[in-house]
Amino acid sequence: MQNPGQSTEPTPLHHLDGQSYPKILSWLEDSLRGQTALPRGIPGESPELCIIRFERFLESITRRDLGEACRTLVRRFANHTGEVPATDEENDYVGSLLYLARALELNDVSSVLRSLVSDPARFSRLPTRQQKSVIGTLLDMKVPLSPQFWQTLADRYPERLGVFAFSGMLRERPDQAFQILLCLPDDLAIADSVHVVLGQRSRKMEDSDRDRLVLAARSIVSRLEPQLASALTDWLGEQAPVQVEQVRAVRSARLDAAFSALNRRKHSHYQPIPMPARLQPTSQQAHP
Amino acid sequence: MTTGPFVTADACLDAWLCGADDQCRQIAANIRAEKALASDRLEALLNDFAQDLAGSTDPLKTWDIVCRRHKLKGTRVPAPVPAIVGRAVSLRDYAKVLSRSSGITMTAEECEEFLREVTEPGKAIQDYQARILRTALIGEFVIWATFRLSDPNSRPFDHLPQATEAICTALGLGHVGATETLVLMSYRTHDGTSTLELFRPTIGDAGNYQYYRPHPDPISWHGMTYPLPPNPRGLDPLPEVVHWQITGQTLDFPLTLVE
Repeated sequence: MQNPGQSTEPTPLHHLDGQSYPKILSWLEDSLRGQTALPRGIPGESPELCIIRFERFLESITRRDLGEACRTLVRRFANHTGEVPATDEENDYVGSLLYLARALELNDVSSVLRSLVSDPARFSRLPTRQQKSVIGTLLDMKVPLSPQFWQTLADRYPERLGVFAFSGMLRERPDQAFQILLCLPDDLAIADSVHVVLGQRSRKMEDSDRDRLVLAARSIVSRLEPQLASALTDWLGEQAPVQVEQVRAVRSARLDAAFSALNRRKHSHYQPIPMPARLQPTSQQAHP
Repeated sequence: MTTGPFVTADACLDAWLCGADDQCRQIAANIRAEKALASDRLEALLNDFAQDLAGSTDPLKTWDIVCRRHKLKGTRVPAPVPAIVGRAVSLRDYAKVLSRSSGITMTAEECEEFLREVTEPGKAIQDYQARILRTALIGEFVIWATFRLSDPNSRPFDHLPQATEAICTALGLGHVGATETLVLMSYRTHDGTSTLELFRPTIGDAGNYQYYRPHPDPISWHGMTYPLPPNPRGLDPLPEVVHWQITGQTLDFPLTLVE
């Protein structure tokens, strides 16, 4: 595709230029609900991606109106939670709207989203997919939220939003993040997401911060349920093999279970080392 | 298409063909050139369009919405279906699909970074990474896929130049920017117990997608892409089929990122 800004052909969304704000607002809502004929790059792709692709080629006043329309729709969504039936179409719409807000860098909408998530009664009325969209947007916008918020979120929604809480806590208080894992269900999919998030966050850390994270992980791994312990052990293995060896030395039935789970994931069998061969726990090793 | 309920639809198509809007002109031409839909199914589609046009202020939008009720109505691909098919998807879109999939609790941005990790050249995919990709959807609703006619057991993109511009040219993806990042994925059509149902694409599957071109061969069981001009590399058209959304259970790694 030629760059529409340099082409003599009109851009695919050029019909928005010169339109009034109410018309742009109406068009945006219809578009995000899949009710307009958008110029899709690939058949079936989400509507907001078409808008993001061509928005920069619009006149500046149209771009401003489009951004304001997006803000208005976010506010409307946040202020009317629970009043709209939770259909798949509505979930898709909310996901597209919030994705667009982030892509257009409308970071000021984070205040209405913060207000929404800080009100347990309103937030609990949202269907899971919308909850995920809201929390995911706050995380991607890098909105600071308190460690208490993330811990409460994990306590209330350990299965649905626990990994998001872990991700948020890793950003705010890395040393406390592993505490959140203690309240997550022992689920392979959750453990895999934890592994990804932990890897991504730790790669962006300074060496000294990462070392502290490794120590915090080592201190808690024996208290985790098997799948989560296995994911954490895998991550520790990616950091420095010697640290994994120290973790292996901890005498723990839960750790045996974790290593068994780890080896099942790797299609091999884990044989616990007989007791006399094990190192005894030392004063440096944390125990629950 | 000159009698009964089609009169309104026919008049609309005539108006599109004579109008200045490229998208409308192309879609009207596609409808007129359609060969993949059986006559009763084409009649049903146009009948629905004619009925919904009454009172519509935006015929193109109406066409797209009507088409949603007429997906996967083309010829079913007969056995043996191609063993491996593939699709190209924008990195952003695939990341979003991943983040929305049940069982995945990662943000869109985390998923995008994850996809960059798993497509890093020279790195083998890890077990946990493969599990995530196999659990999640590879796309939503109707998925368009291609394959190699000359060797249906091989990955469809491996023989193509690994650049967004070339992939878009070959697949006829007209609105994707040359600098966008695409993920190229291949997947098996047999998961050990069942075979993926593939269909020949039709104007109903294309909806208002203006870069679709009906394949002129009425008895073909697949469509053909229309490489975008100017096509300086002389890339051949690729066969195309459609199917309903699936998870990545049968993904054939590695995935490839092109820019």
